[in-house]
Amino acid sequence: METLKTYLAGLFEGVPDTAATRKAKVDLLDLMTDHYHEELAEGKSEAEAIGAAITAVGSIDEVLAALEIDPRQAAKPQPSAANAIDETTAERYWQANARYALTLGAGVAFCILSIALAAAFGIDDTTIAAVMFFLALGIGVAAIITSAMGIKPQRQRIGERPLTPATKALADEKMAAYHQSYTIGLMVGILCCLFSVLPPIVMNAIANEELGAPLMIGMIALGVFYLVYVQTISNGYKRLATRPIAD
Amino acid sequence: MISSDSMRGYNDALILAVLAGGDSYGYQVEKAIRDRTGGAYSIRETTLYSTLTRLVKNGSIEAYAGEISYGRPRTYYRLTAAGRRLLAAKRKEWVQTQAVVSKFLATEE
Repeated sequence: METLKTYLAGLFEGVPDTAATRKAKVDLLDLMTDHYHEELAEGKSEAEAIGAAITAVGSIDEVLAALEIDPRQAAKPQPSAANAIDETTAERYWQANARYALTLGAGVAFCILSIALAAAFGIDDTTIAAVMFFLALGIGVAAIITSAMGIKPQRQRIGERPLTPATKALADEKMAAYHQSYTIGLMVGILCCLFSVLPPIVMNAIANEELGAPLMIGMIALGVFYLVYVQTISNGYKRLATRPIAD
Repeated sequence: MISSDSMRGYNDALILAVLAGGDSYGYQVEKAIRDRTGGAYSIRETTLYSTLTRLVKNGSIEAYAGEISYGRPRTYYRLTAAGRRLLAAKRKEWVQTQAVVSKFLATEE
């Protein structure tokens, strides 16, 4: 019986506690309990009876629809002033996000750069080329892992919480102020990628074609760094700016 | 065993038909559907509950507190006059639906 109650409580988790939903829970529990008793009367074991009663339940979405509750709203905690994000918490999150953007961008760039280094050092010595490749790749992967681990606690801290009116104003202001830097960063990133075709052409012209490919990959790495960096910073502002204000 | 998808659209009629035979409560309705179809269709309990809720809202059935069960009054349902009219309309519609679908599926071409 307790198992059925626990299962039902899990199904209704996040659903607003109203008279209608309480009634639905009681009626569904009666249905499940009747089912459970009938399975027992037919000679099933307790575990089998519970299993059969749970299997027959179905989807909670149908009940929410009948009660005219939006399942997406039901899953979200309601905004309340008590857990709203204040300006200090928001600033801490943006600082952590800036570090995340830097290490993530550098990590991805190093992974790309590892190919350039292998190509550059491979001209004279394949052993050094392999060492440089794995060294850069290792730094890149380590940076990506470190960045993800660094931002995780801050993301958990802000969770799905709403904002105070002051934080909302600050987030809007930060997002607007970053727009210019974001546009410049995107342009630099895209231009680096586009003009990466130039080094091979120039190097060919001055009879040093071996360096053309490494320089091209190096420019792509730089371009990707800018793209990842500005996009991640912008996402950090947007993540808070698009949240609701607590009641 | 027939799927829930195939039966979508007929649950209202099935429940009204069961209640036309007398007042009943949730699990009894579920069992009646299963027994009358020889186990070919078992209505999901959330489907049953949401259909009952919808039928109460549109006035086709009424809910009332019955005998005490598990320490609280059990919710019973009874067909209303509007529910009887709806059931009659559903029966008529079913004859038409059956005739239309049979034109395509009754025999192999």
